[in-house]
Parts: sequence; C-alpha cells; structure tokens
Amino acid sequence: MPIAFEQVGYTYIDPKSRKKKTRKIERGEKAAERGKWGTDPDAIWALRDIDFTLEDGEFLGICGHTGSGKSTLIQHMNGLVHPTEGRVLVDGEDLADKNVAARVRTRCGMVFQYPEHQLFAATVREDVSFGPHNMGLSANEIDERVRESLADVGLDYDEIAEKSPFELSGGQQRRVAFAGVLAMKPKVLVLDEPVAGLDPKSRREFLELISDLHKSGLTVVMVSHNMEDLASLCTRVLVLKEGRQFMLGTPAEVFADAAQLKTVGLAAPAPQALACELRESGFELARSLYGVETLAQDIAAELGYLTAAATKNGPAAEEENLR
Amino acid sequence: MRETFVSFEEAAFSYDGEHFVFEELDLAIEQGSFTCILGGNGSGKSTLAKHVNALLLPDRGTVYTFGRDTRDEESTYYIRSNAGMVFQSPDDQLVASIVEDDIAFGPENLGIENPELAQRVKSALEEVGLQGFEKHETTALSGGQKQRVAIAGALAMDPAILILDEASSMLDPRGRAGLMRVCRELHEAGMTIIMITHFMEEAAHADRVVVLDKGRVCLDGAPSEVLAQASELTRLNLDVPFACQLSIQLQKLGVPVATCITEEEIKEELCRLHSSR
Amino acid sequence: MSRTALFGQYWAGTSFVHKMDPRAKMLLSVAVMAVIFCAQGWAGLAICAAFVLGFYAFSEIPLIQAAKSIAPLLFLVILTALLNVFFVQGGEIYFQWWVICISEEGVTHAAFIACRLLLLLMSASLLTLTTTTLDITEAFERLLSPFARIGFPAHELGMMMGIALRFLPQFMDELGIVYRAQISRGATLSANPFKGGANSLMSLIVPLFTSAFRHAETLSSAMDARCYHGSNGRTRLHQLAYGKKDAIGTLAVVLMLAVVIAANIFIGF
Repeated sequence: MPIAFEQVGYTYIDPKSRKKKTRKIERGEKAAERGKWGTDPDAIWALRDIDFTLEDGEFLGICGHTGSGKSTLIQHMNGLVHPTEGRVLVDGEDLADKNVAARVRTRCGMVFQYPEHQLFAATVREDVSFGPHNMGLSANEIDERVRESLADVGLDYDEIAEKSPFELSGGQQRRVAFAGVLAMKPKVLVLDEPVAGLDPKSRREFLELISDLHKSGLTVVMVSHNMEDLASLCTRVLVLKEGRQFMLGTPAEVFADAAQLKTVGLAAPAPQALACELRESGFELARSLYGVETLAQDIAAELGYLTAAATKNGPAAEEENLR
Repeated sequence: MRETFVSFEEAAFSYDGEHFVFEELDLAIEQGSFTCILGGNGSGKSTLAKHVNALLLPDRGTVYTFGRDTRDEESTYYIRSNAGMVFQSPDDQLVASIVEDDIAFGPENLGIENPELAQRVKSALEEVGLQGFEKHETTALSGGQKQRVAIAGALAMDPAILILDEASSMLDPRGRAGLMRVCRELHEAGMTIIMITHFMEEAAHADRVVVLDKGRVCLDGAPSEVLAQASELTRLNLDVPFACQLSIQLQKLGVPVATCITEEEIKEELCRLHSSR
Repeated sequence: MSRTALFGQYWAGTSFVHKMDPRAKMLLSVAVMAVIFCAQGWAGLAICAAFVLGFYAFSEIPLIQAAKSIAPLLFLVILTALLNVFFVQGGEIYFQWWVICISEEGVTHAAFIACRLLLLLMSASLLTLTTTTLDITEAFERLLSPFARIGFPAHELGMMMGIALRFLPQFMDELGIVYRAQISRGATLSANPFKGGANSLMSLIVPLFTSAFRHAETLSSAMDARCYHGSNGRTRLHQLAYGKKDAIGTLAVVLMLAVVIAANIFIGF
C-alpha cells in the first residue's frame, strides 16, 4: 500500500480564502505564490511542496524541530487532514475521495503522541476491540485479533484482558493503546513520537517492539527527535524544515553532514557527530554513518592500535552496533 | 563551610501503607550544589523530590529542609517558598492564562506587595531569558517556554533551592537544551539545584549524581565517577552516556583512553593521542 | 503565528475595554445583557446591536475573531430558533405538513430570539475576550466578598472559575486530538455521534475526564508548592481601581439603556 505525496501543501487559513487561493493558483500564479513564503500574511503554510512516496516495507523516519509540520504531514496519510494543494494517493487512489479515505483509515494505523491518553474502555479487551468492532468484524474475529495484538505488544491476554486499562503502569498503558491500533491489522503504522516520556528501559523495549513489527512486514513511519533511534532503525529519513522537505535519503546520506543538520536545529546522532568533529581535527574516518562500535574500531585503526582490515565488518554488523 | 540544605534521615515512605517507595533513605544535599538524581521508573526519585518541599511527608524517619523538620506545619510555607519546584508536564502546572499573572502567583500567595512584586516578576522573567513575554498567553507558548515560565514562577518566590522533577522529559531537544542552560546559569549565580531526570547528558553537567534504585541510593558521587560505571548503569536499566560507551569500546581495542563522560572530553583525549602519534 | 479566539479565551490587547476595571466590566456586561432583554422590538434590538458592535470596536478585537469565538455556541442559537419556529404559531402559514406548521409569527419570533441570543453571547464573549482569567476571578471574588462574612466561599469559587477558564482552551485541543485518534480507529463520530453507539461517544468523553483528573493532580501539587493557601494574606500583582474609563463605560451602558427604553416606548415594534 504505497502512499504517494504529490506536491502537497497545507495551510490552516479558513476555507473561504483558501478557495480563493486555489483559484489564483489555477490561473497560473503558482510560481509567484511560492516565492512569497513567510511574507504573505494569509499564506501560513504548514506544509509546502511535499513530494515523495512511502514504499511498502520501508521504515521512514521523520524529524524536524517543533513546528516544522511533522504532525500535519503524518495526518495526511490516513485522510485526517486533506491537502490544500497537491494530492495524496494511496494505492493510486486519491485520499480526497471520502470513500477512499474511509477505507484507508483502518489500513493505516495511526498512533498519536501519548496514545495512552486515549484509552477509554472499562477493560483492556474492550479498548483493544474498539477498532475491529468499528470495522464491523465478527465477535470471533475480534476476539482473535485482540489476543493476537496483545501478544504482539508483549502483554499476557489472560492476565490483563479483563483489567481496567487505568490500573496499569504507564508503559503497559501505552502498549495497550498500541495493541488497539494493531488489532485493525494495518498495513502501514504511523507513530508520532512513540517513546516520548518513557524511561530508558521502556524506551528500549518499545523500540525493539517497533523494529519487530517492521521486520514482520509492516511499513512504519516514525516521527522522532532522537537521531540515534532514527539512524539505527530507519531505512529512509525525511528532514522537514518550516514545512518543506529539507533532506530525504538513507540515514547515511542524511546524517553524513552534521553541519547541514545543525542549520535546522537538529544534531546528528552522537557517534556520527563526533566522527565529523574528529575529521575536522585531522582524523581519517571513511564510513558515511558511524555507530559506537564502528567508530571505536576506525579510531583505533587510525591511531594505529588496530589493523585496518579488522574494521571491515560489513554493513550488517554496523547496523547491529548502532543499537 | 557549606550548610546542609536538605537531609533525609532514615526516611521511609509509602503511598498505601504497604509497599514502601523507600525505607531508611539517607541523603544530604549541600548549599550551592547541583545534584542530579537518576533512576528508572519506580525508583522513587519523584517521591524523593516531593519530600524536599513538604508536598509529601515521611512515614518514618525525618526530612530536614533548611534544618527544619518538614512535618512541622509551622515551617511548611517557609520551606515551600524557599524550595521552588518545577513539575514534569508543561501543561498542568501553570495556573494563569497570562505569563506575568502566573509568575506572580507564588509571591502573591506569600503576601509580597507592589512594587517589589512587579520587580520580582520582571527579574524572574529575565533570569529565564523570557523578557518581553509578560503579556503573552501561556497556552500559546512552546513546551520549553512553558517550563521556563514555571521556573520563573518558582524563582519569583526567591527560593534558595530549585527542584526540577523530570521537568525536561516532555520537551524536544531544543526545549531541553534551553532549560538546561537556564539551570546552569542559575547554579553559577549560586542557586542550589536538585534535578530529577533520566537524561544522561543532563547528569553530566551536574556536580553530583545520585542514582536511586528501588528507593536506595546505589551510586553517589561526581558525574565522572558515577556515569563511568557502565555495567552498573546498565544493570539499573539506565542509559550509558555515549562518550562512556565509546571509551569502553576503545579500551577493549587497546587504545589508552580514560573513561570519559562527555563528548568534549573524549574528543580532547583522542586529539591528544592523534597528535602524539 | 495565526491566532483564533475561542469562547472564554483571552485576546491580549491594550485597548480601552482591556484597560477597564474587571469588576466594572463584569457588572457592565451583566447590565448590557439585561438591557438586551429589555429591548422589545426590532428597533431596540438594532440599537443594542449597534452598541455591542461599538463596544467591540473599542476593544479592538477583529470582528472575525469575535464571530469565531462564539461559533461553537451557534448551535444553541439555531436550536432555540428552531424551537420557536415550530412552537410559535400565528399569522400567515407558510408551510404545513403533519404536525409541523411554520407560520409568519413563528419565523419572525424565531429570528428575534436568535438575534437576541447572539447579542447576549457576544456581550458575554466580550468580557472573556478582554479580561484575563485571573482578573475575572479577582473581580468575581471582590464583588462577592461582602458575602464571604456570612460564609460564602467567594475566593474559592473565583479560583475555581479562573482555573476552569485557563484549562478550557487546553481541553479543546485535547478533544481535537482524541477525536482524530478515535476517528483513526474507525470510530464513526463525524456523521452522527449516536450512530456509532454509546461506545464511540464514550471514546471521546472518558479520555477527557481522565485527562482532567491528571491535570488536576499536578495542578494541585503545583499550587501547593507555590504556597497557595486561600485568600488569606494574598496580594495581587494588578491592583484594582475604578477609573475614568469605567465611568465612561458605565455612561455608555446607561445611554444604551435609555435609548432602548425610548425605542420601546416610541417605536414599539
């Protein structure tokens, strides 16, 4: 289920003047409009010229500092928000069509920030079955899905299903909320800062869970401030700056240039940032993306404590080390 | 000699009378120190913080703040006005819709009259770097700004201690950096700071780190000592600072580096080795 | 940054109306509402409208924002109007089917009631748009403080009100997020809240309640930590004092009353 963004722009101004704006654009003043970023008081664009395709099976990381349009962007993916200009296509169908949006909604699971704040039912079972129930599934099917999705997030059905979600610990609550989305069996999982506010241990466990879900075949989109997490998990990273695509590429491509990232107020992952600094001090470090272990090896080699041959461990080891 | 501002003496506390968050906790915090308290969820770090300003009272043992027993009701307002506190969630702790009204809330409760009241609001805003925000709406601020307003609200009471109870955990990196900068400036100006956190990079800038686990102090010392104990931190489910991870890896490969805790340190160390090669 | 005014949310400014004493504003807005009720015909209502719009002009709040701020309550206006259309009968009959009968008097009466309600909402909204919540609280408290001696909890009520107003916009935001989250889980809230069953409605209401409790817990700790202990010995950053502006405001409202009474007597429709 590829999701294609075609020249998507979004603005919060009221629909009336928005209509006027679109008409103006149709009259061919698009180029002139573009130049006015930030100057035209009416044109407060939360997003502009977003153009990429989310492919099946990829793990896309989205970063950018607060107000860069991350949340608005992901809400386009299941039709919660409709573009002011351009279009979003899912499987080649335009999300602007209400029927398409309704169909896509359950296939694109959206996990908002602090999803545990959206729990509401009397028992965990009821809460998790809310999505499948809304999809109109049979009682058997719903029950099966609840069991499956609770198992997926590492919770024990028999122990937890009849408990009130509000009795659980914060980390468990978030897992239940996650399960509620997974129970709809989405093809694409969109996560807005899934580990915000968790302590280091729960954070690690959660990232592992997300990584497992990705490995099981889900397409994952994750908004995060943590560059280390993005570098180690993602197959592609999108950096937003004031609502525009600033960078898009593999973690190695995006994080290669620490200075460039700094201009949008982001820092490269710590090992990568240090590698860049050391290069400036005369170190010769060849890799495009560093993890802790690969960096240690290359530094040791550079300082003459290790033969260079021993550092060639291949990309698989590198990925492992980043974790 | 520096005065002891806070001391826990065999303090014990439980929310329900059965499961103790901590038992026999002993801890002393000195005037002018910048203490970071680390620990995973359920380690009792937030509960500890709330004991300092008498929001919670120990079931057994005693907590002295500024030499006064926190259970003594006569001292409650003295302690609270001198030990300002900033909470975790930026959205829950601001009382008023307008920045200056919120900052004035504390001193108003203390009965401070104008013009001193207005002066305190003004200087508190300056101290957190938000001058010019007096009339702004609190709901329109970013998370980081809200937390700085919360700090200003505490500062306006003219406290001797500032307690930050996971104040940065819900902020983005930029907000967190801003908050940390404000704390360091305040500390340099003489403020005693107690910071509850689980971010290692914040702990690296403190001058003392206390690690709690299941209500016990299990590590206590300068950041360079505590944060370098990688295996112990891992056992306690905490993160090991990146610089420390790297130094350990390098040591394994035979590179003679000291165990560093900040990136600047390890960079210096490596550059030294590189140039002497 | 774009701003939208919500009902109950303060619109920062330094206008004439902003600078008036909150107590005066509070009393005067009650007075204005009373005057609006006095208006018995279209002429009176038109005069009221002119005055209310005039007050808005002096408050320097863009009319669009003023309209937006009461938009969430428009359903009240429409509901009242509809009830009047159906229940007030008389004059020429425009439309009749089964028990539904729409008559001339029904329509005019409905329009009148709707306009009156709209003006009432606008006057109430003007108070909250130009007065900070703490000021409203303070005004409320001061106005009711004479009753504190007979045990009326004026300060406590004022504080509660202030906090309610402070959290209102936040709850609106949170409601928006929960709404979108539940929609994403296939809830059918958009078309008809009752179609999706009680569960869909609960999926919005329960999270709002839990969030309120969560906020309340921290807020009460935060207030304790900042030495809040009721009104005893509490000072205020902004001292309240009636001034020239309040006198002018009062005069304006008295004038409004006079003109409306005159309209009632001399024009009378």
